[in-house]
Amino acid sequence: MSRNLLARKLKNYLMTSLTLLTSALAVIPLASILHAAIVEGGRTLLEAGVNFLMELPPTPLSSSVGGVAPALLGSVLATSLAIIISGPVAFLTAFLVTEFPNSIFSKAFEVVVRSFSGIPSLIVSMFVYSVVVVRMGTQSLLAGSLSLAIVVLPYTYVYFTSAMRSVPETVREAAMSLGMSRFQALRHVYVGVSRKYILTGVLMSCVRAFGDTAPLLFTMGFLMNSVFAGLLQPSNSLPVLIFAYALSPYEVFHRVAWGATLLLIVIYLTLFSLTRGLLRGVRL
Amino acid sequence: MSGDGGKSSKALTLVLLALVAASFSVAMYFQALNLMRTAGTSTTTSTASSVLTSTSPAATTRPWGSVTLSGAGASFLAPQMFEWSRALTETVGLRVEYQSVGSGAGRDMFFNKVVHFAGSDPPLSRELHEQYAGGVMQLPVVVGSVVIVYNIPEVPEGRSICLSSDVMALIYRGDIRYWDDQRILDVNPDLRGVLPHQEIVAVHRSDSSGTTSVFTAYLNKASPEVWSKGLVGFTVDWPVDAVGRGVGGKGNEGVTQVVKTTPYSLGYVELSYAITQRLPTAALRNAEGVCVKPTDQTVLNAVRNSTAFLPQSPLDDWSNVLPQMLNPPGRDSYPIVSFSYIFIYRTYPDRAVVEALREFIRWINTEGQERMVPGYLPITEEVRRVNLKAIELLEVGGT
Amino acid sequence: MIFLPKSDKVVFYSILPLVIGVLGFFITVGFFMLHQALPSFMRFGVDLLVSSVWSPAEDPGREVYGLAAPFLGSLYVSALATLFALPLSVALTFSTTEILPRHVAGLLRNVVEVMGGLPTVVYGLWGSLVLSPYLRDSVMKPLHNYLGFLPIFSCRPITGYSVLTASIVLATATTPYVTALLIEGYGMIPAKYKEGILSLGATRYEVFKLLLGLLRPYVIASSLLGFSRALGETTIVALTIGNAVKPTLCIFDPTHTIPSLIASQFESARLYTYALPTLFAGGSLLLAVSLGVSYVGIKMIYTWRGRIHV
Repeated sequence: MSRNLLARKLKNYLMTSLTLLTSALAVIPLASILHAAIVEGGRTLLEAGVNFLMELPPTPLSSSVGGVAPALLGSVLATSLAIIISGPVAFLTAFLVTEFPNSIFSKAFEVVVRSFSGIPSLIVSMFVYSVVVVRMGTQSLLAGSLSLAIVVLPYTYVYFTSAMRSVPETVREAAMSLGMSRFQALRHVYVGVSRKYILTGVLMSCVRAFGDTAPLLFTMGFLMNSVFAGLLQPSNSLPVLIFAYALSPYEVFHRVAWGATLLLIVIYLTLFSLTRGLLRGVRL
Repeated sequence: MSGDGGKSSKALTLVLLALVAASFSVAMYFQALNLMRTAGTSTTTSTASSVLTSTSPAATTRPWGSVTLSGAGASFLAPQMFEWSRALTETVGLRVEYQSVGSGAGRDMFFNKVVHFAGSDPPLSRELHEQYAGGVMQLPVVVGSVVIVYNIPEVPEGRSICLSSDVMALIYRGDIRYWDDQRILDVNPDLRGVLPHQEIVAVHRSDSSGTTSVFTAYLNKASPEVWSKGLVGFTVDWPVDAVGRGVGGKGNEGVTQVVKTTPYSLGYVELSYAITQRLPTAALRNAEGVCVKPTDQTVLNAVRNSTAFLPQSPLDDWSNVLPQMLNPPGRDSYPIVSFSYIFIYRTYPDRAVVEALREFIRWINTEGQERMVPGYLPITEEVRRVNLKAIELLEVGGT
Repeated sequence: MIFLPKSDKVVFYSILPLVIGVLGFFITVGFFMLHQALPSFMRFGVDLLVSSVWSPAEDPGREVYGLAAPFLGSLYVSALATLFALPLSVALTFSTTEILPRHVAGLLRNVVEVMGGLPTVVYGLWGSLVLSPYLRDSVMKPLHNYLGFLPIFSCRPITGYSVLTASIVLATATTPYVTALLIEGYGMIPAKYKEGILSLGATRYEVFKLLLGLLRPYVIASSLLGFSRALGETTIVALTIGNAVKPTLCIFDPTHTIPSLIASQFESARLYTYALPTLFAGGSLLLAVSLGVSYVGIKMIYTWRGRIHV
């Protein structure tokens, strides 16, 4: 073995190890986050048990931690609505932009929408507040969902464009050479090939919507004395509840905030792994 | 490449449909729970028992029907409002929901008629009061107080330091640098030799807050020559920051956190945080030159000793109340106390809303005052009497 | 668009209204912000950008605002965060595409994706409760003691809430996004390049290095997009940066970014005449920078994509 080759192999070995170490460093925070959430939130969840999902939140003088039913339900509904509103829009626009990347509209759309994933979502909240809430005369689950839909649209869009782009050029060409139209290719080929990415995109958007506080702050209201009031009535959500409770001085509120945080993470991880498991099943 | 497109896209659709279906069935379930709860049906469902047992006195006539009052505003009021609204739902059967978005945002929602009432730390300014003259009522509903917390390892438990407004103003201006400064020792002669030669870290709120506004208004009133009018407000350009010994904490929570973890620091927070976080609190030298610790009694003394100045109607101008309440006379008065207000309109087009508000005002000025959360103090009899006038003033009418 | 076959034209023109609609909507939001910001721009003019004060007053005549500190803070924190995130993302890309066996790589990719989806509240709480005390005692204090003569380490770390803490948490949250972009770009390099290099007997590292060289415009573009995303992040920064209206170069100092300023001041902004318009002015400024940076980034990606598929 020549010295040169040895040096190259050594370098390869060194750089590979360094890379792996750096990669490990990147995922350490996740471990730390999970640790903190499980230690703090686990106690609450163990204490409250399944009632945590079904009871009303506590007040400062409450002796038990109660539950987060209004917030949980509000979050689930607002997230579903937001995805139902933004998903199809994001899907179709992503399709157009990836299929016709040279059109001036595609270019403008790409830049504008991607940039909007970077503005503080509080601003969207204020926009929806002035345009929808003030006109309707009340904050509502619907207004909150609209606000969320606007905030997640750029994310859903970005995930969907990567999904479309994950379709290899060869597959694309094959579909075309079979004489498929673009819509046919989309329906029968692209969606199949990129389903994993699409599903990930939907899921990530769900999670993003599920965990965002700011868009709901002025649009959705707050509800803690009943579980559900109606689509056009105020509602509650987990992140807003966490914020309202984490910043208060009362210990029972802190326990609920940590419990809700763990709940948020558990829901997220469950959804995530479920989807992965399901996908593996489909692949066989 | 795996699987054929049709099959997998079907799977995808199925997953999505399942998610949507699941969420809506959960929704239906909760709505059913909720309906049972409001109807006051007593069921024996085991898991939801605690939700269901707390039913309201059903069937009794409620002039407000099924109205839910909504309010928004000051985060300071939120814990007390949460407590009150739950008790109202359970005892009277009136639903009130309050969200903590801040005094400014709450006011905006109130004036845009998105909510029925607003919670605000400051009363309306003179100009705004004139603008809405006769249309908006202001009711002080709780008494709050600002306390100074500190972290000096050398000061033993059971002994506390005393601060005068001059000393605090000089610390927050950055002029007093060390804990063993002569001006601090003058107020604490018994702590000579105990207070260390260490730099003081002055902690303040970084976000805009009513607490800051009350604290700085107090400094300005008690030591106007040290603390100028320009340094009063919800957000302040702290002079101590410029010399590198000032730190901002986000929220009361943030300030207590910083004080806890930073030796030789002091900060100002609402009373409730000092109580629940068990931090040592400083005694303050009041207008009569006596060092007074913050307790329920000393705070109430302060309010009682300043009620002579209070307006006599919810429709009056309350903008001068805060400066008048601060640093009040009386040997046993704690010097930094304030009110938090709710704003309501004098007329609402909906009769049910008017009835609901009447009940709300009656309740929080009577039974509600017995249900104070730690850190909040009830308003005095005299203020309650003024507040109750609002019940008569409320009317059904055009917007 | 004239060269497209007819069926493609149908597709294009049937979705186009939707695209234009969404585009129009977002532009409306942009104009809404500008419109709201107008009173502040009119009142303070250039001072808004060059001074840094936040001094509200009930009397509008005495209100003074300047956004220099939060604006520079935004750029500084996002740049640092991108700087931290880039090596992590490149390492993750190398690990998952070249080094690790397939199933381990898949696992790692999942973990990174999990991190990408975690609610930002969770990152923020973790950063303020767990990371910042740790950083203050084990990183900032030693650095300040030994390297305090450097301007960026010169200030005394008091609380742990600082530029450094915010950028590290922000980097943690941005890494999955940049990684996803890089893996996507890496996968776009036609196989023939890699085969060519491998056939010359190159080691894995050499393959990656060469391909990374090929990918360089894409890496820069991904960093720009990551930077643009970091610019707008609110929750994380508001909880970790310490929120002080003071321009600073020292990374142990607390400062503000525009989103954290909005988050801190919004609650009472409406009590004053010019506070809210100023916050909107900050938002518009941020949007303008973000638009510009994203435009450059996306343009680079398009150019590169056109070049690589020859």
